[in-house]
Amino acid sequence: MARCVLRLPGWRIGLLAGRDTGSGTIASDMASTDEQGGNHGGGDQSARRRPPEWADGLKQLYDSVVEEALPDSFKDLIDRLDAIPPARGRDTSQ
Amino acid sequence: MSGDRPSGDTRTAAEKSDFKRDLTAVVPHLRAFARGLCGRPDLADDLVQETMLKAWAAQDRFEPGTSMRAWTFVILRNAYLTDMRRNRFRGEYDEGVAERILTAPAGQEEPIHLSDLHRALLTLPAERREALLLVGAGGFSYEEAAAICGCAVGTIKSRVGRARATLSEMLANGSIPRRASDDAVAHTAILEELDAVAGGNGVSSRP
Repeated sequence: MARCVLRLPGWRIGLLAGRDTGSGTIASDMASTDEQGGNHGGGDQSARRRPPEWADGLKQLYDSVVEEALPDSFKDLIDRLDAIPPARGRDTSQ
Repeated sequence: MSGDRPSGDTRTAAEKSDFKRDLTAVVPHLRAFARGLCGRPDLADDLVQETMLKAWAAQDRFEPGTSMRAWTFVILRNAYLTDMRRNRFRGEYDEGVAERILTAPAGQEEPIHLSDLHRALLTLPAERREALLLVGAGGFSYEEAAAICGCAVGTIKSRVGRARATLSEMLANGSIPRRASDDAVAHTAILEELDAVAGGNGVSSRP
């Protein structure tokens, strides 16, 4: 996913590369999350000792969907977007 | 191929093309986030398509150079909260689909079933569930997640911490609601928190 946005014009690269990090930062995020869980979660000590299995499972749940082939309905919708005037958003989103 | 844009449409063809490419690129992530939020794949995909249309319609408000993923997640989140109000999602859970992606971590005597994890996730209050999804699954920083949810970084940290503690306890004790009837209880709790959560929304991220 990150590679896709890196094809943007040069002036955008730095910002996007730093922000859309994809899966690269998950491990470190989860590590710091673990700390927070201990500090804020309070209570169950076993909760502090066993995050790795399900924390990884959470990523698996997410990644398994990310890696799925895109259903045709999405491709159809993407193909249809050009025919939809963006200005419509002024009415629908405000 | 015309240089004339319809009234109110300020984007050039190149800008639209860039936007469409970036939007297309984040669709898999939108699907993953939506699946985590609402459980059922078919409803999640409906939500993503709704999000794509809203994003396309609102593309004038996207700031090039910022994260398309974060921007569209805000839209998806708001659409989800709106649909929740309409009672569209009732914490429904597609057991069959989850069983297919059930995994056993290597070397584990007692594997954590992803179906259990997903079901437990769906019982969390909406604001904690989305915080955990954003940080723990989506790989967003606390700061990015706070911007998406329109709240303080410390609030996100607290929500993630509490979500993790609750899930760990559920998985350790096996106290995971089994079926939709139990999920309805969670759904009620989610709805009760909805007003507060929705209060912080908006397509534009807050600082």
